[in-house]
Amino acid sequence: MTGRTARGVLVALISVLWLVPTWLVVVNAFTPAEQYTGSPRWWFTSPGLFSNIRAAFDSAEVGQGLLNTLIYAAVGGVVAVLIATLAAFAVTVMPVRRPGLWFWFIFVGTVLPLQTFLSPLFTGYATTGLYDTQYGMVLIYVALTIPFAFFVNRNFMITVPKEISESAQLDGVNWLSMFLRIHLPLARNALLAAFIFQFTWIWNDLLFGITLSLSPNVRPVTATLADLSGNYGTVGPPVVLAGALVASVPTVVLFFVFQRFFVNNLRLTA
Amino acid sequence: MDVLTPADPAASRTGPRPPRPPGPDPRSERRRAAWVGAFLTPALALILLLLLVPFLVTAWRSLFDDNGVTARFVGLSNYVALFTDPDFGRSLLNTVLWVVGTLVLPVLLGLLLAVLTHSVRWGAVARTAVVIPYALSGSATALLWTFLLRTDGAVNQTLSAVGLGGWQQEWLLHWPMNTLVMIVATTWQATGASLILFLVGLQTIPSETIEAARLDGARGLQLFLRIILPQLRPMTVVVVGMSIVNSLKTFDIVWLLTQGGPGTASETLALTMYRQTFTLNRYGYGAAVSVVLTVVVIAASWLYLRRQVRQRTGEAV
Amino acid sequence: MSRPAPTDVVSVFNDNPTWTPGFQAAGRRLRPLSGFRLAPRAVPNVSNYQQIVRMSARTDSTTDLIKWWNGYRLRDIARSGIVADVTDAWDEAARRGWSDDTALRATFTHEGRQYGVPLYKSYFVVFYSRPAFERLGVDVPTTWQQFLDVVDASHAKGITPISAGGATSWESLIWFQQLVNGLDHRFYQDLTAGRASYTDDVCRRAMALWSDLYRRGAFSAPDASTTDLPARFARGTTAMCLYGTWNTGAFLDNGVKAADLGAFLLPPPPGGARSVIVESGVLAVSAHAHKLDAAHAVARAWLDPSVQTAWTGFLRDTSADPGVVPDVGTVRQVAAQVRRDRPTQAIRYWEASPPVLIEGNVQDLSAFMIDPTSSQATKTLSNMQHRADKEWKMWTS
Repeated sequence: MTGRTARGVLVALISVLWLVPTWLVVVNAFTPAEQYTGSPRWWFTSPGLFSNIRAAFDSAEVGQGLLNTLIYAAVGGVVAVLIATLAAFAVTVMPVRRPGLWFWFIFVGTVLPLQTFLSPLFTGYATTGLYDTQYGMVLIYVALTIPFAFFVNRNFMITVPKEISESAQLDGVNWLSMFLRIHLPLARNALLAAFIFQFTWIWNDLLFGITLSLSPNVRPVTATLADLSGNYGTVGPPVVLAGALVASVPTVVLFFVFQRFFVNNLRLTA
Repeated sequence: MDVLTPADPAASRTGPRPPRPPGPDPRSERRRAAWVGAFLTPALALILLLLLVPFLVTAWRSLFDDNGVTARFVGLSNYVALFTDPDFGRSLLNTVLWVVGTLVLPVLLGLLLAVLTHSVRWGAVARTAVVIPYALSGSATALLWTFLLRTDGAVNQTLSAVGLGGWQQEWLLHWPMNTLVMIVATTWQATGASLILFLVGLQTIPSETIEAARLDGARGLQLFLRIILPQLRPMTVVVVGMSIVNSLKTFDIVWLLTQGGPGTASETLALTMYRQTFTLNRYGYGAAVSVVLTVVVIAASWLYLRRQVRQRTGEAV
Repeated sequence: MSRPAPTDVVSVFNDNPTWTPGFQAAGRRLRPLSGFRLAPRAVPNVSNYQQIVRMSARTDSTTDLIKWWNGYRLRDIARSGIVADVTDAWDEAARRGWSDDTALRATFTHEGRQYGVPLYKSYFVVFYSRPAFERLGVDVPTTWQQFLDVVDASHAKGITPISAGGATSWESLIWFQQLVNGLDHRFYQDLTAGRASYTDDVCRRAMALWSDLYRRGAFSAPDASTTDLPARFARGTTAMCLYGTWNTGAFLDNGVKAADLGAFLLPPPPGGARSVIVESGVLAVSAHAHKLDAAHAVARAWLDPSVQTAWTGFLRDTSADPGVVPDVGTVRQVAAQVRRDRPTQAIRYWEASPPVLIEGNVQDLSAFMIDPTSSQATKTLSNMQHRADKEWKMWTS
């Protein structure tokens, strides 16, 4: 009994600790710009969230940016996870001759520091005409998010018992339908987790958004928000926070909605 | 050369393999290879063209003394200059601090919370609280932590308000305090990610295994250590592997909160690379730093992952 | 770029998205004069902006005009062939009487030719909060001792005398340049040209003055941010801030009422003469611009008073044409004081020496601000000189 209460108290404590900074963000985003004193607030004053949001949407093209980012994150995330899962399936289930080699080839994609290839990529994009286009943005986002999705899905798939794929092979099922009908549904939760991670990563990326796009109909929302808080910002912290909060809502909602896929009724402790 | 998984699962672990059919059939070999190719090629092509080729270009550049105007071939002298630079040692030290810090905190906490929140009534609330920071955008997070950690920020204000004024510090302005504090800030965000991955991993444990263990009398900590942890290994590998890689590349939060300061005291390798390349326009030297960083990351992840990689389906444990 | 642009438009690339309406307003005045308007494109991050300009100079995707920094930073890109010669624009401006500032022109020069026209001409002044000064019962100081009295009075009343950030940014050079230049303008010019040493007496005295101000409690914590300053000025919790007049607009937009904000030139420290630090942005023509002739026409027309009025009216800052002053109280106050006192003018430290040298030295100054003791001052100065020895050799090679 005391074990249970101790656990409960620990979890409650951790939750409170984690919520404190989030609380600060929300309170200060709600503070109207005129009432900002130069120091962060701990309590709400009058609600100014909507005027702050309006200011954010007016000074920077946040609305258009949100739309662009939605396209990149959704399309990019789905495509990347699909491609990554195909590759993970190939490396774990299919008769591939050097699974280790292919694993490292793809894994190296996560290893490279992002700033290293900004310059060659920029030159390449400018030469091939992909610079400042939506296709170009989706392409680079897909390439960047494949490795981690691959890693997650591969490590999930190696826990799938061999007997399943072997009996399917004996039944004469071809690889594609085995993939679609057996392994894809089995790995659904890993796929979802990978998709959510990569959606969030693409959603929050700033570096490539700033470097490879320029026009308002290509720039992602992080770049437009950076306009607000740059060196010459003419709006104070409350407006910046309000803009950032609004931009974070979709990812938070996504986590909420898919939470139930991550928890089942495993009774792990008494 | 193992092309196919052996037909007998029991013999695959220990005993000798059954005799092979005489020679592979070339047509079905080609068909097999075509299938494998079809599944693998999209990933390989994208990574090769958009990630590996640009990196190789950068590595080539590291052999030059390049300042954007003139480029002179200098072979390995950029690397020699790098290793004899006193700042490099500090950079390396900071990077190691980050690796250790982000291995210990977010990974352990994520694991702990994944298991604990299963058995507690408001588990969902706790999970949400921990995961939201991961979903917040970078500009909000940077502003938030500046709010908290500035000399006149919320943390110092709170300390003086509750009478602990003596504990006030310039959190971000001195090394190593600023690095430790930034590791805490990163933990706040990164725990959510490892929490989700561990939750997914927990789902791969068949409930029969748990029931069987419980029938045998295993409880609490024993159940955790003997049954759950080993079954979680594939996911643990992902979490630890990614933690190592991401911490070695730490850049954003240090850049936004301290810019590597005071001076260059809190720089990590990624920050040194950025500063040399983009601020000082020493492209060759910066490229050398990025090559060194990449090699370090590959070496670290190879050390951890090499045994895991040769596994195939069903050989997870 | 991917889509064809309309024919009477010239693109301008800069690192400040909030300037877009200003460029558009200036463009409307440029149209009858040069035949072209402006289409601004911006990247909010300064470091990224510089990289994109350098990277795109090697490809076919440059804009027609770019914003840059003057002094050695302009020479840096002029050397690389990124920008085109616009000496004729300066000759035109001199002939029409728009601007005959030879000192300013020198900062746009590389090997005898000019490579950009001045975007604005800002001064580094002390902004002050009128409510705070009223609470203290003090007037605008005209001597160094009066300035120290204001500092002491604020400190005694619990008001932060001077907000000075810079622990993690370029702002750490602001007080360094002000004190060195204030003590000896000729020495500042020699120092930044590589003819004097950072360990000479003037620098030591400047650092001693700086440490002394810290000892009096004159400064805020070194990680203070200027985005919080307007709110503090409005409430009178901070009294002063030494900053560039280009930030006037940001202050006014962020909560300080025009009537509450004032500015004055900092009096020279003992032994010095009246001198002010000047900062001037550059509007340059891309050497590989698609519309090269159009861009040149715009550069020639840039300093026309009608264009400058529209542009600085938006910017709320002073123009390179001393006859054009926007209708903002604080800016008029500064322009009037400059006209009256005729201080010598020095270029901002950020552009005054080779960029690599400045970047490193500014980091050393930031480290000093965190630990402003005299032993740290000696160490900082010798680090800076060490770096200067190395970097001057690299620049001239």
